[in-house]
Amino acid sequence: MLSDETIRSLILEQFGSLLNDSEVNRLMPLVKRQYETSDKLASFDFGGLSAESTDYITDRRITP
Amino acid sequence: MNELLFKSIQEMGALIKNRKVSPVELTQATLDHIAETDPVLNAFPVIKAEQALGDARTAEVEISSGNYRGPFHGIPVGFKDNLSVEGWVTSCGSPILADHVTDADAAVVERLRDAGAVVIGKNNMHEWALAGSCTYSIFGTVHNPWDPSRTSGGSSGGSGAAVSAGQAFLSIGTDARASVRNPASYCGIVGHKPSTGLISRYGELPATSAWYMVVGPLARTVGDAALAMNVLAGHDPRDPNSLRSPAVDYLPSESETLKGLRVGLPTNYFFDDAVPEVESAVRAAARSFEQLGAEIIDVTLPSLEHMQLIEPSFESENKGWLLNHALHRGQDFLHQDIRFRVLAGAFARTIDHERASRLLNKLRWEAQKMFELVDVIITPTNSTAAYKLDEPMAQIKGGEIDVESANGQSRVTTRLTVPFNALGLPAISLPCGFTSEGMPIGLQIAGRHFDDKRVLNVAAAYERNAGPGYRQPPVVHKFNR
Repeated sequence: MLSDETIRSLILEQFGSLLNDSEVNRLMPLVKRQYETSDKLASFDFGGLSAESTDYITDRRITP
Repeated sequence: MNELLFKSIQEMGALIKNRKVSPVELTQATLDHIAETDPVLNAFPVIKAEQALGDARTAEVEISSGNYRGPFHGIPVGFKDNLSVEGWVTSCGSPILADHVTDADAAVVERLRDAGAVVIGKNNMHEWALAGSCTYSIFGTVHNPWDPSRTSGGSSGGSGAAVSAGQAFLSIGTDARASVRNPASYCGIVGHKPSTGLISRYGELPATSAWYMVVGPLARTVGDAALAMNVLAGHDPRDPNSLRSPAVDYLPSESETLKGLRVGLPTNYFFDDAVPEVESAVRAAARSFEQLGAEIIDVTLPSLEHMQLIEPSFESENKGWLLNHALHRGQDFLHQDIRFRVLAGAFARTIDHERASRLLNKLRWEAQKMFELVDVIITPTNSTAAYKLDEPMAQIKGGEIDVESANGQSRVTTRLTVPFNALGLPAISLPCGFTSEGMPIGLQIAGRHFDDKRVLNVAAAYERNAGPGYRQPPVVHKFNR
């Protein structure tokens, strides 16, 4: 689960100053849900063809 | 109120062909009826009276000269406001496109004009077609003709309300998750979502490559929807998703029976949220199918339990088109929930799309296996009837849902229809009953890809032998003189 701080920095990285504070706050739970969806999708076993087996998909911003 | 306005296209076409009804008088009666009823419904915000009467006069002259073009000749029709008409504004219900004049007819407009239809105007819709209601639109909210305090459904809600209330004999809508079938269900009419690739999307806005979105007819009878399919279906090289398909006469035969038909009745997902009145109406429809000679077979599509996870595989493209507007013209979104959903969509990653696509392929495989066992599947179109516009919560089985939030509204209005968009399969909604509050309940029938004729045949047989069929909604009687 990503922290609020990480979510906020991801939004700012993506959209910079195009959104004001209140817009960023409104967007945060939706982005959080988006990453929760990512986690759920990642939990499926797709067998040997899993994209997990390639490393280019690793997002260094969110992967320790 | 003019009873002629509630005839089927099949009946009206015969009257026009035999010169018992004048297209000019019919068009004028339609315009008068819209003027009376639309202050309540707000379904037809764009009316082109002079152009429509001119087209009706042309139709009348052609028919008088023996040049009858077919069942749509002289018939008043409408189009959802995301389908372009040459020289008219096509707004998608958004202030951003409020002055967007399109320079060509959409393929479906062309085809209906060629068939002689009289284009009355544009039907209201939810902003950007991104919700299963018509609450937010540049033209204001659409109201349900069965109870104006309730939603018409959406996003083709203006089309559903207009056809139900006799403001048009046919309206053409679009359907990415529910948008033809949901308003058809809520307004007590027929809406057909055709197989992906069967009807050209050329001229639909926004011009995305969203393969799961289709254009489809809303009509009062299955026969009328089938007549529309005869005109609308066919390959169009201008639409990259258009597929070549054999020429088919979609009009159901009156002698068609359900004997020997294998009908799937789902054991998972489709009844999870259904309120008792909806569930019992659909199960009663299943018993009617059985009495008419069909075999009812229990079917399960396990991967539907992951439908919400599958959706990222196909929905981000449509939202991506709007990202620039969501960032730079945020104040021009009437429905701010949509704007923020579009912004959040920018955080979907390629790997999410890839994984969701694998889940979708699993669902496709399950559906293929299912359609080896059955010819069609029947489900509710929605888990509830149309909800009240001024109440934030809607009752589903086991609880309440916040229909003011985009996710809650989605669960109530699109959950049962979106699987067939994901699968690209034909699916029709037609009336199968009414709630104790008098609101229509929709039955959804879906079939194999390009098996639209069978879906329409089965729906017509049910409509003819067991279903309630189209009924005039109470709002039109207010104007009965």
